[in-house]
Amino acid sequence: MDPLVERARDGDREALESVLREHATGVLAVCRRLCADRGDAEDAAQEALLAIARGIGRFDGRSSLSTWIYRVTTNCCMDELRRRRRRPEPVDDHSERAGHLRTEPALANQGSVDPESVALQSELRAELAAALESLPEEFRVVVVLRDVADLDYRAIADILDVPVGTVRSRIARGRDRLAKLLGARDEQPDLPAGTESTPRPSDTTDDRRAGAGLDSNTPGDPPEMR
Amino acid sequence: MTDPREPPEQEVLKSSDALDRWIANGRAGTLDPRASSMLRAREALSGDRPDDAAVDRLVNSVIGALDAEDEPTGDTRERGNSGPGVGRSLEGPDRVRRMRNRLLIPVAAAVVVLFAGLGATSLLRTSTDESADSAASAVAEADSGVESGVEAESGVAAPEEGSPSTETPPIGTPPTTVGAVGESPSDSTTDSDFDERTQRNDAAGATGGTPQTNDPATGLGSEGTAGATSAPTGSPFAGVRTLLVVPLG
Repeated sequence: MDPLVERARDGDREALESVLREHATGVLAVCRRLCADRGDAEDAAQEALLAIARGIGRFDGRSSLSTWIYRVTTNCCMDELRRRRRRPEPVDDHSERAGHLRTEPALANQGSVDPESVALQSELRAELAAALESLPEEFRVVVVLRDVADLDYRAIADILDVPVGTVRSRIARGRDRLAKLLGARDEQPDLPAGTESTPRPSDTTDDRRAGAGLDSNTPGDPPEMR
Repeated sequence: MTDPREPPEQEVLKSSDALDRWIANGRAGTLDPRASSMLRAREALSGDRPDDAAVDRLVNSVIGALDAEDEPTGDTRERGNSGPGVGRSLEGPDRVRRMRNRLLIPVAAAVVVLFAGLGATSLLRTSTDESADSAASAVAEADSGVESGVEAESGVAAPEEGSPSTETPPIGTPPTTVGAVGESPSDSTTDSDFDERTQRNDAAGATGGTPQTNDPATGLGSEGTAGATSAPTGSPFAGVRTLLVVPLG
């Protein structure tokens, strides 16, 4: 086991803080992808890090530390999502969330970046958030753990307590659906920026098959014929 | 119902696996179009990492909450919680402390009551023992007073050690010998009302035995001073017995 982790397990506060800082970025990234709402994501990340800090003394090293950390994180996100489902949702919650994503300070403060590029990225981020939210939870979790946390299939299977084959299948289907949902934008690189940044209703979560139709390998009708 | 535009799962799996292999091989080679679409989705997902400021804020708030848990009192929302809704999670430490107090206070009260009960029981037992001691000594004093009075009045000395003295038993009972070494003084009388424990005490006195302790139940016992040369005095009834026997003799 990593000496830093052992010291943290033995109650060394500095070591614990180092472990938390080392994994906080990944934890927050996963929480942001699993919880669409920024506040919910920060709450879930905070709960996860607190649970990791309190429970690191019980970490026995059977799995890797990152697997254990992402298991805790995933559970906190699921709890947060369940809490969110029980809370009444404000009417303009969706647009507010998209606004949060568009005005992210880190993105706006990238000094030399072209404003048009910033706008495009913000738009992509909003589309991504909407696409992720439209994915069934079982697909969303595996895709995020694979493509954001970069965990292998075995670790994801351990975290979710499902067979590796199920993880592989869910990852494939989740990736495919997500690619289709985002496909409309990616498949039209030559369109003017204004056209591209204005999402059409068919590009959003209301009609997933529209996105699928834009995938060049999908034997479906092109979007112009819908 | 299966959508006809939905690709077969095997193809999707193949593309996904190809993407994973491509990443594992250092992104070398080519990807099929579906795998390329998946790669773009992956890049979009993983490309937007949280900025350092957000991470610092998060870690500081967690460290602050942990510090607040270690402190006995304090507002857990004071440190590093500036984001909307961030403070919601920090209600935990206070809640845990309140629950702990709710559990500890009754337990402490129960322990105090238990110790108080034990102390009271111990005091009660001590005072009972003391009163039993004083009762026993009072009986012994009365006993020796009666005995000495009888001896002075009758002028009969106790038989010497080893010399059997014949006494006339009460009518209807066989004669017995009193005062022989090793014999129990209880044999010298037919008074069946004697307490068995009193008889044992008397026997020890007759054999010049060891000092006896007071019987905590009755408060009676011998002082351990009586020997074989004198009539047993360990019992409060010893004098009475002598009084009964002597006139008959």
